[in-house]
Amino acid sequence: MDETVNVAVIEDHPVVIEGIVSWLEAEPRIRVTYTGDTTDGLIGGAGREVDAVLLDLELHGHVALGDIPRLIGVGCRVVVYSQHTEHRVVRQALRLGASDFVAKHESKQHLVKAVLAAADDEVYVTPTAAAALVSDRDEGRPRLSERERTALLLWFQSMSKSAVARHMNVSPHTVDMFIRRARLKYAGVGRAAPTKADLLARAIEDGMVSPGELTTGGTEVGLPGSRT
Amino acid sequence: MTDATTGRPGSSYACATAGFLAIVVAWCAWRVPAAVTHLGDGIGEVPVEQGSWAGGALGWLGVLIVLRGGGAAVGLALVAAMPVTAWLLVVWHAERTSTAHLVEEVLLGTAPQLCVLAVHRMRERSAARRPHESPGRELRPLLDGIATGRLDPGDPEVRRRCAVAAARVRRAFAETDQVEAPLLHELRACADVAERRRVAVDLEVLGDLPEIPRPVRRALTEAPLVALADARTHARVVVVADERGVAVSVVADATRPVSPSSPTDQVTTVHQWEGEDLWIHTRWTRPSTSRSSRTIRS
Repeated sequence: MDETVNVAVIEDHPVVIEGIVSWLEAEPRIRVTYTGDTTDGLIGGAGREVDAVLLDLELHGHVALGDIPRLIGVGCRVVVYSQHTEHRVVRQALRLGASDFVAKHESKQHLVKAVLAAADDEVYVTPTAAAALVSDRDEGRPRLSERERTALLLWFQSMSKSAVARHMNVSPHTVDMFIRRARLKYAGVGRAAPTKADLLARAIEDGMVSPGELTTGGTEVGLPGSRT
Repeated sequence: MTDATTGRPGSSYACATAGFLAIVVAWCAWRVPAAVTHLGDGIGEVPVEQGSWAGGALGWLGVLIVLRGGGAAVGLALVAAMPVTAWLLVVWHAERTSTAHLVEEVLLGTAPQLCVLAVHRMRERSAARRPHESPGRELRPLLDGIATGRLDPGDPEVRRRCAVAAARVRRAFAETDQVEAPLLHELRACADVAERRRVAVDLEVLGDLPEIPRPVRRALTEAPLVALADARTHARVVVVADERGVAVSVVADATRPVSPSSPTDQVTTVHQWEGEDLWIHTRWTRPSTSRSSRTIRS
């Protein structure tokens, strides 16, 4: 997966756009091809030209959660970038189909990885998203295994997956697996979205999970596209 | 046992023991021949009042022996003082006073010493409840060293000790505030000291914090406090609470390993290095879910 990734940045502060572009373009695969302070242009058609959208949730004082499904509707993969890191908001963004949620205080490394994973239909979970998943107390939440919960919690607290791995006494690969599987269980809840279907399809294709494994703990995690 | 005031082991204990024995020997040398001389004439004629001063003097030295020595030392002191005790009983017998009068005399005579022992015991117990040294104890030699020029304020190690001491003082102040989440309040106090050194500190919380006893909070915040004091440019503090306990994590670009904090029954501390980053993880397991329900010891 080495082709260039075209990214759109939607943000209402020019200085932040500059910062994001310099962070993203430091990664050779990424090109920022579109910037703007509203989602109108992307929804109007420009969205088809980009592989991922980095969306600031608060645009000109209004919270743009509703823009997530609209962007996904035109085929965009959306990574939310915001200072509104209340767990409820993060989960809502993921349920609406966002690929990941990067808090504005999070590092460049998380931002770049989240954008690349979204463009490739792969799973990346930022520590902020991990905290939001593990703190879910909603009735219809997917049931996470004990080790998935532990991995998400430690990922939220530590500096790297290898640190989590040492703490849990497993390999970094296993830690990554726990975190990705937890995220995949969440791809089945909330609003059906083509991005979620693609995410699950890619996970199954990679042999990370089998379709049977995604029906867990009474919460059916099916391909959203197959729902009627 | 270490002498807390001088830092030298048992110096006051040695002096007290020597003084105690010297008084017993001097007293015996002075009083026993007189007693023997007068025995033939009958106990009633012994000049009893001349021997009673030893009781008070031995009592105060006895306090020091009780405070500084072990049970065996106290037992030996009681045996050594037997001639004096016997003399006091002789006096009582000679004066033919009532038992109640004897009890009253003994209580009045020993009350000041017993008070001193009781106050000392209370202080010891309250110190034992604190798993770490009181900040004042750490601060005094530091300030003294800087004031006398013995310590160089430009020395990174001195600056580090100051940062740790400052954070402990701030935490101690924060402990007395009435707030809803004392653990977060105390961590913010530690973070504030780091921020004054221009370290960027993030504090994140996951879950609802239960009520946490103060000694547990101290044990939970001790290693994070040192990590924050050691951070060079950035630190991320994460508090996670669930039904099983509370964990405090710090990721920081620290300069050196964190010194191990006092282990307790319920709080564990682990640390990991990765490149320049240090990850400190302290965790308190709530007693109801742990195998043991013993309280924290210092």
